[in-house]
Amino acid sequence: MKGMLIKDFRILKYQGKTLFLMLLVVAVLMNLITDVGPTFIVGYVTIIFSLFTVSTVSYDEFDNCYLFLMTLPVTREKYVKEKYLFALLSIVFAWCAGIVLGLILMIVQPSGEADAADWFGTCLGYIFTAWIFVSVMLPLRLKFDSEKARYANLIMIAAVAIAAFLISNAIEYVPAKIVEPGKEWFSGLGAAGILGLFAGVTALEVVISYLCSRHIMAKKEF
Amino acid sequence: MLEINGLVKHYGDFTLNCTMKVEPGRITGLVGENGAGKSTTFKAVLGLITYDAGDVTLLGKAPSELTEEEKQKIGVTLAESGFSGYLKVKDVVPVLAALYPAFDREKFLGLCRKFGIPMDKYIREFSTGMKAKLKVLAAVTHRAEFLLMDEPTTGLDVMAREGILDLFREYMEEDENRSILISSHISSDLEGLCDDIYMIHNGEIVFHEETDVLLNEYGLIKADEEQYRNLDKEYILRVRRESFGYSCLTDQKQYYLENYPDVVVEKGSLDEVITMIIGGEKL
Repeated sequence: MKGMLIKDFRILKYQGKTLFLMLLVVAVLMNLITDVGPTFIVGYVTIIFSLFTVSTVSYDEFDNCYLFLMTLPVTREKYVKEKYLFALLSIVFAWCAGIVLGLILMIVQPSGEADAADWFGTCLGYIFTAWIFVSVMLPLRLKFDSEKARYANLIMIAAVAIAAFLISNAIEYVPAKIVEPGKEWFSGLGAAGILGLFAGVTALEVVISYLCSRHIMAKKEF
Repeated sequence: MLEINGLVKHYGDFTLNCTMKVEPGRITGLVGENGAGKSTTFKAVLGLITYDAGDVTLLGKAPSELTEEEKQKIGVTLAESGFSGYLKVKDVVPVLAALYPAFDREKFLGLCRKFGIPMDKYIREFSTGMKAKLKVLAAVTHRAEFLLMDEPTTGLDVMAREGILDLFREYMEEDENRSILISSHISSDLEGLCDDIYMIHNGEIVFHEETDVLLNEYGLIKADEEQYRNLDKEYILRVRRESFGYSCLTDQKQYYLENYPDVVVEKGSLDEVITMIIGGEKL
C-alpha cells in the first residue's frame, strides 16, 4: 500500500499543485472582491480539492495502466484502502492550508469573524463534508468510467436534493408529538453535540462507502 | 511455475480455450497473431479477469488467491499497459522500492542509463520503445522467480530487442529455478530464447513443441505434383497447395532428406510452422 500512496502523492505533486495554488489565489481574490469570509474560504479550498483526490482513479486509468497496477504486489482490497487513506490525508492537508489562509485573512482583516471555537467548529464541519463528498464519489468512480461516473454523480446529487426536499415537506405531516421532542433533542445537543453527530454520520458514510468500493473492486474485470 | 488446464473464457464471439504449462528453469514462448488470445491468457493467469471454466495455478495457487508476498515473486509486463504516464522514472523508483523488498535500485538505475531511459521526463512523453524498455527493467530488477512478459519487445528496434533478450538470458542464468512465459509475434525473438513454444490461434492452442525439436527436426517439403503423389504422407503434418505443387510441413525432416533426395526439404523455422499450421490442411 505504501507504494501506491507514494504513486498518488507523486501524481498529486505534479498534477494537483497548479489546482491547489489556483484555489488559494481564487480564495484570496474572492475574499478581497466579494464579502465572503475566512470560513467560506476554508470550505471552498477543502471541498473543491477533495474532488481532485477522486480523480487519481482517472490517472490510474490513463493509458490502460489500471491493468498493470493490478499485477503489482497490491491486492484489490489494499488498492481500495489506499484510495481512501490518500483521499482522507489529502483533504486534511487542503483543510490545514485553508485554515492557515483563513487565519491570515482574519489577522489581516480583524473585523472578520467572531468566536474562535465557533469558527473552528464550522471549519471542522467542512472536512466532514469533503469526506462525505469523497465517500459518494469514490465508489461511483471505481464502478464507472469517468464519463458515466459524471452522470452518476449528477443523478446522486439530484437524488439527495429531491430526498431532502421531500423530507422537509413531509415533516409537516408528521404529528407534532413526534417532531417536537426531536427538535428539542437536536437543539439540546449544542454546537459540540451537533459536530459530534456530524462526525459520526461522516464516519458511518465513509465505512459504508469503503465496503461498497471493496465489493466493486473485487468484482471488477480488467 | 504455471499450469493452465482447460481454461475457457468467452468474449462475445471469441472463445479462449487454453491448456499449457511453464516448468521451473524454462523459458516458454506463446506465439500467435493479434487477437489470437495471448493477452487474454495473460489476463486470466494474472487474475485480472474471471474465466468460465478450467483451472489456473500460478506459484501453486489460483491467481485470485495470491498474496502480496507471492506477487512480489512475479515480474510482469503487459502489451498495452504500464506505469502511469503522469509519473517520471524518478518517481517510479521509490514506488518499486516500496512494493518490492528485493528491488535492486542500483541495478535498475544502471540499466536505465544503459538503455537511455531518462529519469526526469513524463512517461507519457516516452516513445513506444522507451516505455517497453522501462516495463522490462522494472520486471527484472526485483529478483522475481517468474516473469510473465506479454509482447515485451513490441516497438523496439533490432538492437534494443537484442539488449532486452540478453537481459532475459542473464535473468535466467542468475538462478536455474527461474522461469519466463513470453509472448510475441516476432518469431525470431522466441526461436533464439525459448525452450519450448506454444502457438495460439483463434483462442485455441494449436501447436506445442520444444524449440530444439522444431528447429532441428521440422522441415518444409517443396514438392511438385508427381513428387507429392509419391511422397510417404505418414509424417506430413500439414499440406498447402502452391503454384509449383505442394508445401508440406513435417516433423521428420531427416526421413524425407534420406528417402527423397530429389525433393527440396528446407530447414524448419517458427514462421514456416506458424504459416503451415494456420494456413495448411491436415491430411
